[in-house]
Amino acid sequence: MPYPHIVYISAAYVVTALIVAAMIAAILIDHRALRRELSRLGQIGETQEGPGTSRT
Amino acid sequence: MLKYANPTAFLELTAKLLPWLALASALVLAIGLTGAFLAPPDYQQGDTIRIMYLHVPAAWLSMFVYLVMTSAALGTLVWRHPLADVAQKAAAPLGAGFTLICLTTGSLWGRPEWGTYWVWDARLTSELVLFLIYLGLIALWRTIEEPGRAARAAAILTLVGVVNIPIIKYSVDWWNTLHQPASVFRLGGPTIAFSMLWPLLVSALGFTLLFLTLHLMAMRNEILRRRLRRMSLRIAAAEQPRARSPGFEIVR
Repeated sequence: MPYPHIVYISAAYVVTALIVAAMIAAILIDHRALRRELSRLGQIGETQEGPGTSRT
Repeated sequence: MLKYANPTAFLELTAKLLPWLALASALVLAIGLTGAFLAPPDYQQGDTIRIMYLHVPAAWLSMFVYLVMTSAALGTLVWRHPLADVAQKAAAPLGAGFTLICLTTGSLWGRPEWGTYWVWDARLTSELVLFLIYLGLIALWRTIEEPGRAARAAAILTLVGVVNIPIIKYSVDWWNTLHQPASVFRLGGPTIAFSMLWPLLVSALGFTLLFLTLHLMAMRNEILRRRLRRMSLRIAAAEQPRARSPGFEIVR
């Protein structure tokens, strides 16, 4: 058998890939949620100020 | 440097920089990990040595991220840099992630080599303490709602926790541990053969670039979160006078 400890080696690479994927996914999901909420609040802000009064 | 203390300038710069940084980290990691499987097996450990190409860079990153957080903590408390607490808050979950990789891959290496997943060895225990410090910092940021107060509290805790970094680094010299001593960053030079050393260093560079990419992304999120908070407060403040208007009094 070329890799006698193949289970441990594979597990290490799988666990690392999962943790890195979780870190990337958490950041991307957070970013999407923040963008969505910012655009929603932006619309509310414009409604409150009324048309033609929005500040840029 | 001062120009990029402005969050808007920072967002503009990082929007241009991030795709290149992500591409560079993917490429360097791919080269490093390919090298890890092309490197010869160790004469004692055999192929289990291939876990080292993940474990060692993750261990270095776990300490490097904490040092980045320590500089950011000083930036918050001493220089009051506007992005320092953003950098500190964004780095903590990434530090915890790299420490978790270090601990799990170390355990998976320990089982075939030492015959056990875990021993209460000085190096392993101090690394576990580092993981707990990261979790404590994340919890602290989530507990205190006002960002300024949370930043100061987290900065103080970070500066207290930095004492653990030299303990991790020198634990193998100060105590009689099961964990092997330093074999790359040591006074007499590396003791690893070049065929194993280059994939390790390239892999470490890839992990570092990955951290920089994720850190900048997380910092951008934190800036957006603070903008969102300010907008919510402004909208709530604008709605308050309406609620107190005479019309409401008549209804009541």
